Amino acid sequence: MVRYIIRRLLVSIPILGIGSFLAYLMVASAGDPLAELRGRPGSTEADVQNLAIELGLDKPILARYWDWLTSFLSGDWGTSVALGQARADVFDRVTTAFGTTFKLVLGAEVLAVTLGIAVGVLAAVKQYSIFDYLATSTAFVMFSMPVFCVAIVVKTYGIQFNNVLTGMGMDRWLTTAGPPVGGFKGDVFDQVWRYTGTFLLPTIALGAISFAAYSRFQRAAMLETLSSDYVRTAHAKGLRPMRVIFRHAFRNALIPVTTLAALNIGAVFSGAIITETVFGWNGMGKLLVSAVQQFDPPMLMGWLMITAILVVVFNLVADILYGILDPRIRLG
Amino acid sequence: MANPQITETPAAGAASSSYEFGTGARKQWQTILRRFTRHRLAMVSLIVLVLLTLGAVVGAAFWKYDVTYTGGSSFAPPSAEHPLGTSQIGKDMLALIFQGTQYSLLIALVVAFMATIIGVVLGAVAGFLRGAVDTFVMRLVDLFLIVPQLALVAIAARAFPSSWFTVAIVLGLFSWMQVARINRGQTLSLSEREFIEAAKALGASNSRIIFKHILPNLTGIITVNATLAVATAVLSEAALSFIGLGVKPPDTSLGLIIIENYSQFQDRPWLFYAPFVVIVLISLTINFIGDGLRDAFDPRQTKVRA
Repeated sequence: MVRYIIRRLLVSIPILGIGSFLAYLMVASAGDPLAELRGRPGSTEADVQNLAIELGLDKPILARYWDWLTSFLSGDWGTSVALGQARADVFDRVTTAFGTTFKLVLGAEVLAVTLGIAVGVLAAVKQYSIFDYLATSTAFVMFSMPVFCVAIVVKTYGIQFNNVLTGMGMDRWLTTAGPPVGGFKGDVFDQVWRYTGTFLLPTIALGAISFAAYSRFQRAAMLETLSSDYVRTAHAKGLRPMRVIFRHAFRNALIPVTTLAALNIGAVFSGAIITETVFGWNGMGKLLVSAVQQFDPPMLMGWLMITAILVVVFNLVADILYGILDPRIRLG
Repeated sequence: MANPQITETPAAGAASSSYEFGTGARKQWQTILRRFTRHRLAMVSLIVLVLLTLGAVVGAAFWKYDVTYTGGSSFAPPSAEHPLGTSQIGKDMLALIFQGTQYSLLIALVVAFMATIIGVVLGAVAGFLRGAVDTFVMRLVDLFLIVPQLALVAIAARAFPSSWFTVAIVLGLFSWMQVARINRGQTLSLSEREFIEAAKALGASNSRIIFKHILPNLTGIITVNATLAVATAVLSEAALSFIGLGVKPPDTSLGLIIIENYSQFQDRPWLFYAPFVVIVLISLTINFIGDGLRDAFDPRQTKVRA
């Protein structure tokens, strides 16, 4: 197992390498970081030249990539080049934003997987019941909904719920503006209270969409195992139905959804970008939008690299989970 | 004709022979069409989708206001004059939605078309040739999937002048991976079959085998996935426009209409719900149609006599 993990990690290094090169080319050709300075009244050609040299833009693209790569590997991810702002350190900005977003993504995934499995199993066991039809139609509507619409609706009703709370003379619980900059303050109870209040709405909004997909997958997988021969054997042996469903069918039906959830992390991350935008969080979503709009190549590269690493790690997690859950798969 | 003895004389033959006893074999596409038309949900969805599309095109042509009209009062509530109210600058919301629907559908069609072409060709070639080509294509898929699609499209779209068409093209360039994977898998299993071996033994070239033997057998999968790709594309385009990095005025789309109006959700919910319902209807009906197509193309489906 350890050997397998090491080998897989080694295989993903060239992918990350090639990916970073292509990403660098893409980012470099997507715009001109000097454009704003050029267009600024009072800036001279000499100013533009100086900035170009300062940013290393006078060198050929391969040399620039090499410079970027070597400093990236040594832990220096560069500084933001967006004009009119302090030269923020890319590593600090990206990792801070990533931390916020990752918590949201993880929470939404946990919520979506747990609910998806529960609903999927129940829908399969009670196939063609009212619950099954209800779950199926909810899932179809959820699939077809843009993430931001769910977020907007959830946010609005959250605010109304807050109004009800304040109407009863209590403090507002749900916040819709993201975690406080300096972290949560107060005693333990207070912190948990505020933490859940902050994360609850975005997590629901983000989890809702993946939940639909997971519940469909779980239902299909569960139906397949329920109709398989070894389940019939177990029933024939006279085992209690509950035991057959959970010990025999359920454990095998978990495999597809667990793998899917790990592989789906990139898509959930995309969803998180949107959800954060609706809630005005200061996470990866806001960072991406501002880095694209103000055209900030080092920031974009940092952004892309950290998400790429996340996806690679979760692909590995998917494989390992698959090996653990399905003993027929031997990793090695 | 090479075999004159089995061609029927056109006047008397064809029509009478197949109708006399009603046992003439149906052609494959007739079976598929029959299965599809009996799929009630899919048919209802198809009708709704066609009505929506026609409504957006015909409605835009005949509705008394068009998108250049700004004469309404700001944020007028729905009335007989403006069934969906007016926007902040007094545009008629119904006219805006007609136009947004057209753009959204157009973009989604371009994206699905590109994703299908790229995905099918790469998938079929990789699955058929195997070896180094297969490895290369599959690593390419891995590379494209390593970063969230939304981010790639947002950055890449920046390189081109902003218009709905470039947004569609860039989205299409980053949407083919799933199609390629599915088609590769199917081609891999198809190319093990005897008829491919026979074609090879007869000396057919690779391109002939791919285009004459493999692709026709992929038709079902291609159709189903192309349909589902349209639904996905409607949502991705809306998401991209929503974070402000997709379609920009003067072009429009349903996503853009939502971002322009969602701050009004609490006071004027209709401004949000109208484009929202249209998006959900489009992608929901397309998903159902795809489902119906999947059932219709599935030869294991025996509910309908073939």
